Amino acid sequence: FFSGLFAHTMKRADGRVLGQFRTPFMDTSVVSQARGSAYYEVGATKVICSVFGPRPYTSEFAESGRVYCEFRRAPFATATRPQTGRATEDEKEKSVIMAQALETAVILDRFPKSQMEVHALVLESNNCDDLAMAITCASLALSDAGVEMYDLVAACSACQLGEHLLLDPTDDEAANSTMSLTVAYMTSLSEVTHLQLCGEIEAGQFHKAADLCIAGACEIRSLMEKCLLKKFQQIAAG
Amino acid sequence: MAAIQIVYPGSLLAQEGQVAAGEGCYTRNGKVYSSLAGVVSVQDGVVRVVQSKENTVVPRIGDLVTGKVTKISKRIVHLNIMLVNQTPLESPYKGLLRIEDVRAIEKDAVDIARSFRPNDIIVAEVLSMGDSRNYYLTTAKEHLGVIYATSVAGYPMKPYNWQEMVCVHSGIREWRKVAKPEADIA
Repeated sequence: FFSGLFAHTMKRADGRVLGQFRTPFMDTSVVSQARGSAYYEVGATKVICSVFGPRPYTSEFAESGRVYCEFRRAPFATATRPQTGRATEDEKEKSVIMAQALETAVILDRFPKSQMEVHALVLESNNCDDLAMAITCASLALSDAGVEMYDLVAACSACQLGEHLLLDPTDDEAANSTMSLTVAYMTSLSEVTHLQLCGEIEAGQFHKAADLCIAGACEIRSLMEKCLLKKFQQIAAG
Repeated sequence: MAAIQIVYPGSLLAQEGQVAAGEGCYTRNGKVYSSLAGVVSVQDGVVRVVQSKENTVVPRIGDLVTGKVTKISKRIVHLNIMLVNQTPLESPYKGLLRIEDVRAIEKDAVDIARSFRPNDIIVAEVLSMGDSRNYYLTTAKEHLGVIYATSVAGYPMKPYNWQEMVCVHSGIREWRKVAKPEADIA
C-alpha cells in the first residue's frame, strides 16, 4: 500500500524516480564518409550509426526500396571480449529487428530497386538495452542522411522490479528484473513499430508498462528534434 | 524578416485541402506531414520541405542519366550510371542500351562498335526500370549519346558531327553516336 502511495517519488539507486530516464547525449553527422550518421550515448552505453545509400539492390526486382540493417558490437564493447569476429546470433537477430522497426518509418517507394544500408555499432554496452538505443540512433542517422520518412522512430525500454515499473533501466536494474519491455514508437503517427517483451507480466501491468515506454519515446523524440535543430543552427551559423 | 521554421519527419504541416504536398512532404488521412528534417516553405499553394543535404536520388523513367560504358557487345551496351539529372549517385547503378534504342533512324543498321566504345561517357534517357540488375536506356535523340571519349591515340576527342568525333592531338576521326552539344541545339 505504502509503496504504491510513494511510487511516483520513490528514488532508484542513481537518484532517479521510476518514470525518469537518464539524459542522453545525441549528435548527428559524426561519420564524414557516410551519407548520414548519428551518435547516441546514455549512461555507459554508446552507439554510433552510419547510413549509406541508396545502393542498387539486384537480388530481385523491387518497386519499393529496402532497409538493410547491421547491428554489431565492437569487440571492446562488453566486459568479456567475444572469441570470434563474426556476428553472433544475438547480433543477427537484432539486425533483423532493427530493420523491421525502421522499415515501417521509411518511405520505401521513393527509392525503387535500391536499399539503404544502416550500420549500427555499439561501442560500449553491458546490458540488453542497446537495441532500443540502436533503433533511436539509426532513426536519427536516417534523418541526417536525408532519407524520407513517415516519422522519427524513438525506442525506449522499461523493466519490472517487484511491483514497480522502471523506465530506462540500468544494467543492475535490468539484471534483477522479472520483465523487460522494449517499444519502438513513431510519435507523430502514434504507431508502434516494434515491441518486445521478455519475462512475465500481468495484462494490466503490461498496458501500464507499454504506456510508460510510449511516454518515454515521446520525450526521446523531442530530444531528437533538439539535436537535429542544433545541427541546422550550426550549418546556418557557418 | 520571416522566421525560418524547421520541421522534422512526421511534423504536421497542414490539412490536405489547404495546400498541396510538394517535395519533402507526404499526405496521410487528409493531412500533410513532413518527410524530411528541414526548412518548410509554402509557395503557390504547395508546401515543401528543403533540407541542407541533397535529396536521395535514384534513376526514374524519363531522367537524363550520365554513365560510363563498361562493355559493348553486338546488341547491347553496358554502362555504369553515375549521375542522374546532374546529381552524383553514391553508388553506380547498372544500365543497358539495346541496339534498337541507340538512334531513331535506321535502327537495324546500327553497328554498336561504331557508336560506342568502353570508357566513353554518354548521356542517355531512362526508358524503363528494366529488370533487377539493369535500367534500360535510350540514346535515340539528338542531345543524347557520347559526350566524352578518348581516341586510340589516348587523347580526348571533340565532336565532329553526329556520328564522328575527332582526336584533339592526332586529328584521327572515330565513329561514335555523338550527343549534340548544348550550344548547337537551337
